Amino acid sequence: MNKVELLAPAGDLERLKIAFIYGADAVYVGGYKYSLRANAKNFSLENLKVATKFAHDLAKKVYVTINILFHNEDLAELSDYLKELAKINVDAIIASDIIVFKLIKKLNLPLEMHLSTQASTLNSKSAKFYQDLGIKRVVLAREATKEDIISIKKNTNLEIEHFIHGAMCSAFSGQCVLSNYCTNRDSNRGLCAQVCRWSLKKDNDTEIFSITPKDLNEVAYIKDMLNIGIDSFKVEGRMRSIYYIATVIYVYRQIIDKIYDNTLTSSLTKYYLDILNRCANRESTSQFYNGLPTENEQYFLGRQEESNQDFLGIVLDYDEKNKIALIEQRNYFKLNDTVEFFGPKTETFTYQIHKILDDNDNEITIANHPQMLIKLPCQIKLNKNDMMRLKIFDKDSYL
Amino acid sequence: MQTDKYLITVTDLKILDSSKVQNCTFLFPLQKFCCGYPLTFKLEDVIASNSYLLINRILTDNDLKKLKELLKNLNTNIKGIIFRDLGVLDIINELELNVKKVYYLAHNGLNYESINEYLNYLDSVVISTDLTKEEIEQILQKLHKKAILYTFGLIEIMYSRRNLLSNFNHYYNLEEKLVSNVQEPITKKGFKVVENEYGTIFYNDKYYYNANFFKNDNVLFYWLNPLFLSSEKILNIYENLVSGKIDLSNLDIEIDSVFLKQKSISKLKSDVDE
Repeated sequence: MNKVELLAPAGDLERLKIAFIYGADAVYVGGYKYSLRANAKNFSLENLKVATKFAHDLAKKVYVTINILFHNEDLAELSDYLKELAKINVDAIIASDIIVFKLIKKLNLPLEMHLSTQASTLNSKSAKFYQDLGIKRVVLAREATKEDIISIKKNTNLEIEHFIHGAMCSAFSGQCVLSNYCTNRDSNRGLCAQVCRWSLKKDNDTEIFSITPKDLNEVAYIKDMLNIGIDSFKVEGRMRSIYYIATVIYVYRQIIDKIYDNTLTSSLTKYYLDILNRCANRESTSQFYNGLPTENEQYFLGRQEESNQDFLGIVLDYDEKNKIALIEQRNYFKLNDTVEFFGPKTETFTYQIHKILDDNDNEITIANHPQMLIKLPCQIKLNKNDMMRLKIFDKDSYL
Repeated sequence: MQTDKYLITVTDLKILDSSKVQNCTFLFPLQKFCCGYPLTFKLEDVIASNSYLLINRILTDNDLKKLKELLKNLNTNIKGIIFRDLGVLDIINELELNVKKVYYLAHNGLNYESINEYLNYLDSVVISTDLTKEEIEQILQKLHKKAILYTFGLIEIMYSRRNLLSNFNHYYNLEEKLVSNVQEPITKKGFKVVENEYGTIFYNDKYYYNANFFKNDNVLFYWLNPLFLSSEKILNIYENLVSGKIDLSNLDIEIDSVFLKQKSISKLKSDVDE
């Protein structure tokens, strides 16, 4: 079984650090230009330097997306930008526009090149076209089935990166201008308005419907995907919260590692699945991996989801002598709530809140101000960046 | 206007019987390798003397294997193949087919430098309809080979591998119907949606018409793609164009410039301010 890379999204430096701390082997980020998530904070060149150093110090990697489709007006500064990325020594760029690959070669820049999912690759021959241009890795279309992936792996010697988790488009990525058409926002230059999640009317019906896909979730097939030789498992969501990134990356890290050491049980898998579904607030399925999706893989009446406030706080520090954790609040909680902590070095455990102190050590009964600092006495050692959440699922009951 | 500069998709078989379009080249959507076309053709049914094939699906290795077998028996009346998936290029090269290799850029290749790079491997491209008139003008000026200009027809707004209409019909236990009109109620934008077993295409519901480049030397073909129009209507359009009447308002067809006059936004104001 190959050693797979777990690849996380990072919309900014904070998310990047959380992703690495929670077990990602690499992250993909958008620079301040030419990225498809224009609404994410993204990275200035200065931040990219910091991010790359942070990653390399941990022996991890940073990939930069340059995955817009370039119009004539976008070309002018591309060469300079690529030169800057090469200087920073990022580990690869992810692009689909041929001009990016050609320029990197022409300028003889030491940048590894990955073909973006925007290129909608479903077969080995189109992958080889770009391989001849110098790409080392292909990010497959999310529409690739297991059969497609096996064939591409067998017929190319490219690294295969594949999405395993997150939101899906209704269309092939890169084959949709619904956003441009309905809102004038360019979906292929970072401003997708997600019209495929809006309500539509069909024929002369008065009822509305949607063509919204459920989320992607490959928990059930991770072992299978390892066996067929996928090289990188990619998680979608550069605009997601640190809690989402921490939870999703932590869960997949656990699953992958437990598969490697042969300790993953079906009951534990069920527990992880429940955690992931709760975190995303949406239903999820394996989508295309096991065949073409049916009516069961999409919503017809809008998103049937409920937002939750599960993420209660993040641990900033832990005083081992007095056994008190300093926590930054993220959602309302109060005395006697049952919560749980988890973290990369902290086995998930249940905690009943018996005492809350404010940052002046006064006892309070509720934590109701966003990002207020509070202290919780805790006998079990916590670590910086551990997460505190509502206890919804009892892990022990699954075992 | 030269009559041999038109490429007309066969969407109604009667068009092939008309002597008025005898100098045109006809584009046949290839059965099992197209999506979004209610009428598709087996290779043996491609009979016009100047024919092109359309392969507009994104294909799997399994599809490409079948396509390769099929194209081994290509007749000489087929002068070109327009394809969306670059995997097809490899098949054409392997079989050493004597056809024009045309890349249907769809939403890709939106600038002249990228298109020129692709043209190093190809004979021509179909320029994307996602562009403004000014962008197309600049592209046509700078290409080192001639391009096909999508001139008239519904334009593709979205292509999915999902069976979106069938899924809807199954979910609500409705009769199977693979062509539908859909509207987005807030913007009132309408779509013509066409599905087959290979996926679904959302077109805009009004006919795109780009009448800006009829005298451009860098155009290989003006592509008329008259989905859902009768052969009479198609002939009317064609006759208007070849006689120099580029105003089609007398034909009772809803026309929309779509992106030709509308530059899409790629930065929000807040991004620009920063």
